[in-house]
Amino acid sequence: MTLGLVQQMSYGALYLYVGLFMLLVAGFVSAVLMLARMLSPSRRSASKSKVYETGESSVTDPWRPFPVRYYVFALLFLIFDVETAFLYPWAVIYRTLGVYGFVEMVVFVVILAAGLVYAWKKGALKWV
Amino acid sequence: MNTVSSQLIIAAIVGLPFMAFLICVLFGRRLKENAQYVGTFCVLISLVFSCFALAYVAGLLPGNVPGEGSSIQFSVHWIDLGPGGSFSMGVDIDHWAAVMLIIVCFVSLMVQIFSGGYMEGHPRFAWYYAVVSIFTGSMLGLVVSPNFIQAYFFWELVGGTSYLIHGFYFEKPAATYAAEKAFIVNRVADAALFIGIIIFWRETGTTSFSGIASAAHAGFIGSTTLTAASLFVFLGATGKSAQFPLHVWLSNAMQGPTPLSALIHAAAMIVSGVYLVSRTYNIFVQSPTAMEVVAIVGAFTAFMSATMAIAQKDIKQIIAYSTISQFGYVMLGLGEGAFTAGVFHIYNHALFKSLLFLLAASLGYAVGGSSDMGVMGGLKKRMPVTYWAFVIAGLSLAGIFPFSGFWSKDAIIAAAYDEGHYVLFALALFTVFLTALYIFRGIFICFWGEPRSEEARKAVEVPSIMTVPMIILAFLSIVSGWVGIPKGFGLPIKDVFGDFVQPSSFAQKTLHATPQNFSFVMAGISVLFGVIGIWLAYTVVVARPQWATAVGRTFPRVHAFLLNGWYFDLVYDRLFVRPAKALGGAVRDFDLRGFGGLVSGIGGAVSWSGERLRALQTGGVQNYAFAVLLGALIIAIIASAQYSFLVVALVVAFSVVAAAVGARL
Amino acid sequence: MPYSAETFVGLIPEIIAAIFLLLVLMVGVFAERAAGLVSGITALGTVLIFASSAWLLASGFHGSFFGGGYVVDGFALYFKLVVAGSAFFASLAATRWAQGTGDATEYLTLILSVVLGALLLVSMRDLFGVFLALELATIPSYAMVAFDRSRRESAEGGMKYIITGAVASSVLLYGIVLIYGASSSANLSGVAKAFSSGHASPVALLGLILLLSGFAFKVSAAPFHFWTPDAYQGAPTSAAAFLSVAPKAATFAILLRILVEGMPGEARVWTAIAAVLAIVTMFTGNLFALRQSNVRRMLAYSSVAHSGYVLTAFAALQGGAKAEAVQAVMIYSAAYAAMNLGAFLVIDLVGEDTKSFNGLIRTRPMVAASMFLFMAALVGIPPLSGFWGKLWIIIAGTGSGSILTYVTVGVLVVNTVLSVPYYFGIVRNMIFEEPVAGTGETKGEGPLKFSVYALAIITVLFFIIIIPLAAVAGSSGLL
Repeated sequence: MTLGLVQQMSYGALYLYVGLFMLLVAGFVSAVLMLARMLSPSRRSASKSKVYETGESSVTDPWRPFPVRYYVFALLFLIFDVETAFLYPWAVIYRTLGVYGFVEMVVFVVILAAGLVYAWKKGALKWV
Repeated sequence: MNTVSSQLIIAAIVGLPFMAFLICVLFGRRLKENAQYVGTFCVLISLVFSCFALAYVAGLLPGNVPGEGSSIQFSVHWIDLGPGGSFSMGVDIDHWAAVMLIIVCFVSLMVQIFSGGYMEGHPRFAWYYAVVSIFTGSMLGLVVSPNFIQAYFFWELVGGTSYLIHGFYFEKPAATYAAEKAFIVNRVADAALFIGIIIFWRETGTTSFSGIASAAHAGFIGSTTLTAASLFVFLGATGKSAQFPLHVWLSNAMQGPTPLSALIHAAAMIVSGVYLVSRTYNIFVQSPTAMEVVAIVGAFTAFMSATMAIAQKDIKQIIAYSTISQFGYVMLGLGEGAFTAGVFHIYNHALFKSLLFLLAASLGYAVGGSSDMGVMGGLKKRMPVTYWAFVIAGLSLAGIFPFSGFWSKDAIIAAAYDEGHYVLFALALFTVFLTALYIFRGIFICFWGEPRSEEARKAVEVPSIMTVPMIILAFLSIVSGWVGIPKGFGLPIKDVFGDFVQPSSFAQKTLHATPQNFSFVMAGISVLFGVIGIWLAYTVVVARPQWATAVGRTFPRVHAFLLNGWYFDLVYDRLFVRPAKALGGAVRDFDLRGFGGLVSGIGGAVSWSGERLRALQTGGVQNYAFAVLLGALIIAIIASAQYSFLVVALVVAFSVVAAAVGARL
Repeated sequence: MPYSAETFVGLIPEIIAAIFLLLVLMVGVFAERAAGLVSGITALGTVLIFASSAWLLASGFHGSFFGGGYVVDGFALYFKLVVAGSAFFASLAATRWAQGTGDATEYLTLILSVVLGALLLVSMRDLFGVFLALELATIPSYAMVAFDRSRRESAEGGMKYIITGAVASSVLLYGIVLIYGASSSANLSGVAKAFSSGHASPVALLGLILLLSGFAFKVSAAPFHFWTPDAYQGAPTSAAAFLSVAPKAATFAILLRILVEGMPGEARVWTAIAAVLAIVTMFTGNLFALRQSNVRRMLAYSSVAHSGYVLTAFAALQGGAKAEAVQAVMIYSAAYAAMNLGAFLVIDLVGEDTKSFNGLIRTRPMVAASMFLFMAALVGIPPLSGFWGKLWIIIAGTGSGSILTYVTVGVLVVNTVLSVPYYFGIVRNMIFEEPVAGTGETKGEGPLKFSVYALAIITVLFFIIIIPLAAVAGSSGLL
């Protein structure tokens, strides 16, 4: 039914439709924010006015030591992530690709595996 | 000259000295003093082969008819340029080149024999012979080159190896400066020569001397282009031959071993410039303007450096300035169309100039290494061979009858008169007087009067390994000119040189040259000027020394002007060297400040915010990034004015983004 | 089926590079003590790449793969030879230094990655492929520059390089995208159609400008050169040597291919840009190099100047001299590779301060003689290698028939003279100054010295090597 309605409307009127929604959304958001401001008590403090950075302070001395283990793991995760991203579409048309497709993916996996082996051997998987 | 064996013999003339170089470098430590036999032997063989070449082109050997087309020519294909053409490597020995080969080999041989005594005991003895050999080889290669590219090749080799010669005594700080200066001045000249070559190549599609000449004759080159290219080549020649305005390097470049100076001045590097002009004579004659410039520069240089030589205190400096002056004569002769007279002067000059330098070397050897005339004096009795040889060389240089210099110099001066260039003629004639004055001033100071130092008091004649080459060269300095006695002189001998070395018939036709007649009046005047010069030198040095001091005291500025070589160094220093250094220093400061200054003016806000958040101390990364975009802007402006608005707007937007990025950094 | 046997034959050099990349990494990880073995494998890999490229070139191989996006022709193979050759000497020379850091494996892996990127780059005929290959060659080079952890400048240089590099890459990519948008094809033959009329759309022209800006950064042409001195001064010497030669040659090659195959219709525009860039670059490089007291920084600026010389050949790509201009780029790349690599490696032997060259002729005559040859070649004195490159450029430039190109060639000649003082400043120091203490030989210099001498011999014998080079360049297949 909606589709029929849309087809009847002229092209320009469609934008009107969108504009109406945007106005609605903006009105709703501003109304809610104003309501909250009016209802809530306001007691400002230094820690409250900070930028939200999941508990980290946003401005510090850049030379202080900080652990990099997390980043190493994040990078290693990337190996598998990329692998997955390629393996899924490959698996869908695996039959049509045949032996070439298989060899191709083996080569790809081997290259990624080499990266993993390197990281492993270098001790990147040890949480020290 | 078609058989492989004879071609090999010709190639060996050039190749042997290079072989000697390799042997001396590779086995120098083992050879030690034996290196001299390697070098001398190789150049001796080259000399013999050169004689063979001369005999061949003269038609004395079977299988060749004498005449203009009798030159030795062969070449091999070298580099293919695709559609652009190709370069070849080869040999072209005409009559003049054959004579030149002998001159180079002979002078080199004399120098090498002499050096056996002069350099004895030097720690770099083998290296010395290596340098002499490669220098000789390079010059020989230049002499036989049939085209510009090959000539340029050896030309640069001559220049490059001269760096080794000037810097041979690298312990001396003056040597450093001399070597560098010589090198840079020569680079300027070489760049000019290269431009000339490229113009010729572009216009005619060939680099061969004969090919360019005939293409120019056929009208492939416009007359303006031809003149421009010829003048570029000539500028290159002035650099090597130390002609005005590129003469400044030569007087400093006297720091090398003195016998090597003999080689440089008489037969190699400095000759290469005038030789190139004589070699490309068929091209030069087609541009009257270029010929005129050659003549004027030559006459002016001859005069200028002769005045400089008068005030010098060092015997080697006098001889060096005399070389510049004498090659000025050669240029004058070539420019006036007197080809034979010009190259005849190269030939005579080679003999008496190498002798002069060997004599200066033996003077230095006798008084303990110095060539300052202040430590000499009164050596006439103690070193009779040196003295008499010096007098002979001096007379020859001054152009006194019947010594060798007379015959060629007289012909050049007469040519200037015949061509109607009376100013040049007057300059040349006055230079004869100056020449006699400066060289005999040197002789009188060195050999007459009282010894001025302890070394001079104890000096003895040099060993015979050094006197023998001197005697040979002295003998030749007397008689060498006799092979070119002009027909008009009235003696029943043939003008062998004049008949053998002639400008090509093409050049003769282009110049409408009429054979010169020997004029006794002219010869008499020129000899008279020379004699006056000698007399004046005698007066101010020996008879009335107080006159010289009085003149020096009355005109101190003039004396300083001459002594300092007309202050050319000073002028060039102010004009080129200092601005270059200042510019270099300025950009270095600019560089050290990390390109901050300029860009911060434009992107002040970027720098300001970047300054505070900069992770690393120096440089300004955001400035660099900004510069990248700035460059894009510049490119955009160049690219199209029509779309400039769009482009500028986009690039400015980019810059703002970069500024924001920079601020975050 | 997207592959055929021919594909594998054509890709042999790249396949070898990839295999050795993995091999070096694995051997290095499992045999940590055998740094010499790793260096040997790397050198062997480069030799095999060189040999296979030479074999392909000699057999006249010509092929176009992946829908015309990848081409193996004489032009590409020539540059593969240059890249592999310089990688061979660089990896030999890096051995000693890399072993000292304890991370030889990583360093050599990075070199091989750059090689792989450069090998792919020169064959690309697809703009997005070009971008990928270029980044494959560039990103490891950031790491190489910052590899020397013992020196602060190394990190600084790496930092500057990566940030400016990122900006330049984005500019380049934006240019590529605009061209793609305008021509609706990233393939060079498709791009050529959009540019063929001579009235390319403004968007396409903007794309061309941004593309040129990005490439100008990669080849360190002024005013995009600012990263060069900092990066080369900070980088380990072998890295600076290698990066100033192999990736640069490959980048010039692909830029040439893009311009010649993709945008011949707008030659009027890009030759003018190249001419102006060349003039600015030559003056900048030489003037800044004039008074440097650090030889490495001096050579970095000299490499900027030499980029300007090559750009002169780009400016000559018009009129009747197109073929000669292409040859000039090819010959200059090879000539420059030999002499510049050699000069940088001598720094590795001697030291980066000008003073450390003092009196070298007495303490180490052979090294000093080699350096003399490299300096003379960089000036462009015949018969050494640099002369031939300049000769070709001048020949091409004078044949182009364009006034601006004539001016550029004139500037080149002037700059050749301008460069003499700083190159021969080194020579003067070597010959005329008193030696400083402690410039003697150290252990383990064998491979490095071998590289230096071999490059010196190549530099000298270039007047013979030029004969086959000219023949190959003359039949390169581009133009």
